Amino acid sequence: MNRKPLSLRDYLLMSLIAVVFGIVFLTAVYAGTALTAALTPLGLGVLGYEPFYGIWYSAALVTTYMIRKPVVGIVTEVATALVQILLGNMFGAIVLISAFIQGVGVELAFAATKYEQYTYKVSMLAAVITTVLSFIWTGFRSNYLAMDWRIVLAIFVIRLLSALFFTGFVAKWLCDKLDEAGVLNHNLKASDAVE
Amino acid sequence: MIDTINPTAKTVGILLGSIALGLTFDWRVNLAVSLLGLLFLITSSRTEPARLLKVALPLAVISLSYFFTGWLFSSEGAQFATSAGDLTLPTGRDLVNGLNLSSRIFAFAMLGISYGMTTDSGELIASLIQQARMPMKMGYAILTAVNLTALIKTEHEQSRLALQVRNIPVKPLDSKPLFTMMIRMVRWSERLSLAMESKGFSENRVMQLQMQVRTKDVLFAGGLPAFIMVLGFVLI
Repeated sequence: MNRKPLSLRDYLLMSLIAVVFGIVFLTAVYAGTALTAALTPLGLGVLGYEPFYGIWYSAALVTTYMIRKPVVGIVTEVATALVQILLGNMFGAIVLISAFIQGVGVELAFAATKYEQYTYKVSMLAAVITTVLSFIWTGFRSNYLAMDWRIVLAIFVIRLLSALFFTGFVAKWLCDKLDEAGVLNHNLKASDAVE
Repeated sequence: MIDTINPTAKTVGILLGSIALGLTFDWRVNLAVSLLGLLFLITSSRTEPARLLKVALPLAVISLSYFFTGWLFSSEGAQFATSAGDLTLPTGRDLVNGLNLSSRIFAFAMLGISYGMTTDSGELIASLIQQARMPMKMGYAILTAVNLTALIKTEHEQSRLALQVRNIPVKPLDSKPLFTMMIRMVRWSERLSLAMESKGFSENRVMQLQMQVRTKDVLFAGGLPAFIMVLGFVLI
């Protein structure tokens, strides 16, 4: 485990990656709003943003893979939330809680391997833990107890599939490609990150 | 009204207020909190009406979607989320359930918007560094990223165009321009950190902007959540 404190470069990388994912996520927000509007008359509008949740979890996974130090996932998500607040996110301060919870989800998966394994198995585990934790939080915030259990189940399943695809697969695949391109200067070889 | 509140105290107040709101399940509390958020916004000199309207559209869609879900797909447990008085309304329990859910999301968003639109980015970071002990490096890294957002957006567009001129199709959520952007961000972070450190940036940096915590800030941080709790559990 790399126990060196986070450097200015690490913080800058986390914040810049947060903005890049924010731009991608903005595209997803437009698509999500359109989908929500289309599904609203059927009473299924709450599912509109669910297919895109995985994109939001990806920033923490990417930076943890790149920097390979403890708490990077949490710091990235909190930095992402602060960047979003400063850019005018509609949910304001409360996204700090969501971000912290998502960061913890990614962090737990890598902490379980003592930050030594960066495989698909770990990225998939991070996607599952993050989905479960964020589901509990949004369940409290949006009061899932007041909704039909089938809607709540659909929320969980779609969010999980999104996380497995975007966070567990796409984000990890992108990181492997970055490693192969030789732009990452962490202390592991590219071959160590492949199962 | 809310502009002069210390940003860290405002963050704490709004966060605790949001958690307190999450513990209440009545549309009248949500309505009161939404009106309070609106009051914060209209009394702030930092509120931009055009930006507020831009945010209001997706918020209205989300709120409406929760109304329909709560109305059409109400759970049996929803009766625990409404007060006994609501059950006697002729409009029905499911309708009130929809109203509770939609107004809840609306109230959360109004608190969030009133926080986001009335907080200056420089003051927030300075306050988080000085009052919340955020590392100086993290604060300045976030400010750097925020200030570079427009440039990063332009770079992202150029990455997409660069692929398109080579006849490579780019879909809206394509990973190819994202890959290019991530390589650029690694390079940028290295160069920016070198540039900042060569200019003498360190944790010992003295900030020109000094943020203070006054009595009214403490009152706001504790008063807002207390107000919502009293409203939710005592008055209504």
